[in-house]
Amino acid sequence: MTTRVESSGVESWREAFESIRAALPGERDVAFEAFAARGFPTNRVEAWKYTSLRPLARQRFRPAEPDRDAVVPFLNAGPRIVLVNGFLREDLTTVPVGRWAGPDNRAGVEDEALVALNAAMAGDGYVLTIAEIRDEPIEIVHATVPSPTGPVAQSRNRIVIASGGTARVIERHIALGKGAYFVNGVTEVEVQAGGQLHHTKLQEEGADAHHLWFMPVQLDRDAVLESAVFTFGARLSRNQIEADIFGEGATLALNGAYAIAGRQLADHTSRIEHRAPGATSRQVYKGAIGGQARGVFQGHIIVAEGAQKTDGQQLNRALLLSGRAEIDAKPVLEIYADDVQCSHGATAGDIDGDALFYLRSRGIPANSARGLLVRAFLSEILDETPEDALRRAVEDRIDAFLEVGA
Amino acid sequence: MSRVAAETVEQVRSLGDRYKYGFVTDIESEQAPKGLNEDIVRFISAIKEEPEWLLAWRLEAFRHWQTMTEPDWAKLGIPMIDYQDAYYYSAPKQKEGPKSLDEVDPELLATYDKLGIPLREQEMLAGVAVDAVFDSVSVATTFKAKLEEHGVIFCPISEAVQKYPELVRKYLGTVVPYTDNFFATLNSAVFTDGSFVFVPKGVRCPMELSTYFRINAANTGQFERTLIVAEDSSYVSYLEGCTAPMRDEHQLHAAVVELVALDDAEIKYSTVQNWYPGDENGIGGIFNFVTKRGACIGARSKISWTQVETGSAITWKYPSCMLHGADSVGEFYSIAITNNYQQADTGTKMVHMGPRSRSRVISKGISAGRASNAYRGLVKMLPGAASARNYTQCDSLLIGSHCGAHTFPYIESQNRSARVEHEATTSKIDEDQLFYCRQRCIDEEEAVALIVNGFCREVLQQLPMEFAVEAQKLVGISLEGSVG
Repeated sequence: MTTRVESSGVESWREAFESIRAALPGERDVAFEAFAARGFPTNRVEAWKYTSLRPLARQRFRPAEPDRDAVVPFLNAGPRIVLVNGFLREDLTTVPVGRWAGPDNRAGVEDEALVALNAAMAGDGYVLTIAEIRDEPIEIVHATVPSPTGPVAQSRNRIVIASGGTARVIERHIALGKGAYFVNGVTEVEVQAGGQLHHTKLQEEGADAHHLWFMPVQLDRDAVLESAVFTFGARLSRNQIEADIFGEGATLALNGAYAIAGRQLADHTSRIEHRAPGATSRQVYKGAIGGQARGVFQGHIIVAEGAQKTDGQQLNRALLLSGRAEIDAKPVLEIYADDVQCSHGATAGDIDGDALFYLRSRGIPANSARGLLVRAFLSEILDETPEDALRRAVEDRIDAFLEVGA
Repeated sequence: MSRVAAETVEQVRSLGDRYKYGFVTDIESEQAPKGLNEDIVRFISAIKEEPEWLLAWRLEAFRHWQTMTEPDWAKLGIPMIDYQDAYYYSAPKQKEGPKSLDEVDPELLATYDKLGIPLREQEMLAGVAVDAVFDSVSVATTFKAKLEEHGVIFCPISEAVQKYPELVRKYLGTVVPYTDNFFATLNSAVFTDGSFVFVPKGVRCPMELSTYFRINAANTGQFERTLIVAEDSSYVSYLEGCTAPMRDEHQLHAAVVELVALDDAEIKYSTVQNWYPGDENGIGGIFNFVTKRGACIGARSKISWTQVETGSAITWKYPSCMLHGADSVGEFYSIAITNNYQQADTGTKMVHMGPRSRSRVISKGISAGRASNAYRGLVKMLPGAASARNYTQCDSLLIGSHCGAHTFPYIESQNRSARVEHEATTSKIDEDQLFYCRQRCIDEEEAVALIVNGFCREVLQQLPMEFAVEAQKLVGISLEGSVG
């Protein structure tokens, strides 16, 4: 396998890196060189087979700067953490948080070029530690202000649920205005023994945005992580989760729903590695794809030798709503233990003709019937979400999608 | 079922640690010098008295091959292969070509007997025509007369090049071009023999066609090339079975099989591959790098692959269907069993281009010992594949806690009206089933053979009768020593 290095792209990034290097805390050169050695992945790299970043490598981006005046809309009146352009807005943040202070060589995540770039250039990020049981959801807003210079916002965040802690977190990604920008972020998640995290991500980036988000996860004994992602925005987006289950009896549920149209590309990539016995993982990803949009799903379950009694299930379903829509799926199972129950399923196709006929035969016009079926298809993921405001936000996005995409 | 299982276990016992087909026939071989260069390619072409166009084609392939590198994407640990340290041509010495079975070297015939291919018996009783390939040269072909009556051509490809050059030239390399992949390109340059089948318009081939491949001389890579063409509304079923003698040194096998099905034609291609898998410490064994591909060119054409892969140290094989025709059908039924240190990376590609084309993939992988068994498949719906349909099911069974079973499916759909469904499961032998058998005094090894045969049933059912019985036994034999 050869990794093509788009040297021109790397050089413009080096320039950008040098321009902010002095202001960044911690050692950054190693991370930048790790990025430079790899460059932006093209589809010659297996993990990026369906999502080429070549166009991104050709564009010039300037590191985004803190914006202390931008007005940020919220979903809830509850506790919140706010970042604008990748920098924490302390004036808007109501939850006590720590700040990210530079690379600490945690988990070798810098193997990925984009993660290395983030490690090199991220200027800020929250560290949220929960040791108690918190019922009220914490809203985390990642807002970016587009500008003609093409800002790149890179934050590095961390959620730690200590033993016995329970939390609900909603991460929202929004644009404050119209225009192009690039978000390359990381949220590290660690759930310690017996901890529970219910995490929802709502990605509503601007239409010209590129959104790459990496979420490395570590689960300890009997830890629970339920994470759902709703993807609607961005010209190109990739939500990548790499979960390592270290503790016996841990439970991981990763869900996703996306609705994309026009020339959007939405990539959902996950790798779950069962390193301890008796853990459970569940994944359900569903997408509605209209226009000339492209959905990508790559799911990888690894069961390491000795991880007996693993239960790993994965499902990917895609609805192709237009003649030029495309889905590419790669659900991989890699199993090194014999006493396991693992499965995956994948389907792709149009709306079920019989269901459509059923509705039409009852006097529902074709368009409404299609909308009804698409909404029903996606809402399976939404059903898991208890927060009303979040539900409404997702439903509004689905409605908006149905007007243009389906 | 229980009778077969009992037989299996008996066979396992009688085998002990020995590989059933591990014997070497002592026949003087006519060999080209070791190594690979343009001269060897020319030598092979010259000795086969090939026309100019074929030599040119081989040389183009060889030149292209020199620019290529071995593929490394499969989940296989492939030791370095020194392509210069092998013989590319070896033929059993014969003064003249045999005119009938009586003229065939008796030692050769004895080898076939040991393999269980009694040519004469088959000729009389089984009604199966055998184009037996020994190393690189076909030595005996039966039932020619009967096939000729129906207008079916079934002969070694080297003979077809002489007798039907226009047919060979028209189709050779149209499904697997010489630029296709490292091993297919190597094969294009140095292929020595293989079978050619041509079924003319409207003919239903009156018998199952079968070929047994054997690798005999030490250090001889086998580069078979098989081409099957089924004209409009014709039908042919082709069987391929393989065994090879025990060797300590790795042996390379890079075959190419091309199938062409025109309007309403159907080709059924069945394989039982039982080459030497290496010993229980992973020493020796065949490297099997095969490119098999069928083109459903015509409307309503059908190509069906069935394979039982139990042998070889390394298997790299993806029998595929290019579904060009409207309403064309592709099928892939596979059992892959790996034990000890065997490695297999096998699967299929179903590329849907024609409207309403359909494909079905059923793969059963069984991994035991320290083996690695991977399914790798692609289902692709191109924009023209309106209302196309695919169903894929991959099941893996693990026996023992040191083996691996993997699934790498690629699903790409560019047509909204196409439907793709994929399912995969991984599990171990159910304790309850095992207990149920043992409760009834079926010992563990026999019970495993029974359960595994049940696990594979969907695929075994697809095999022609004579293969199905052999394959069932093989399933048990291959898993020998994997329990307890």
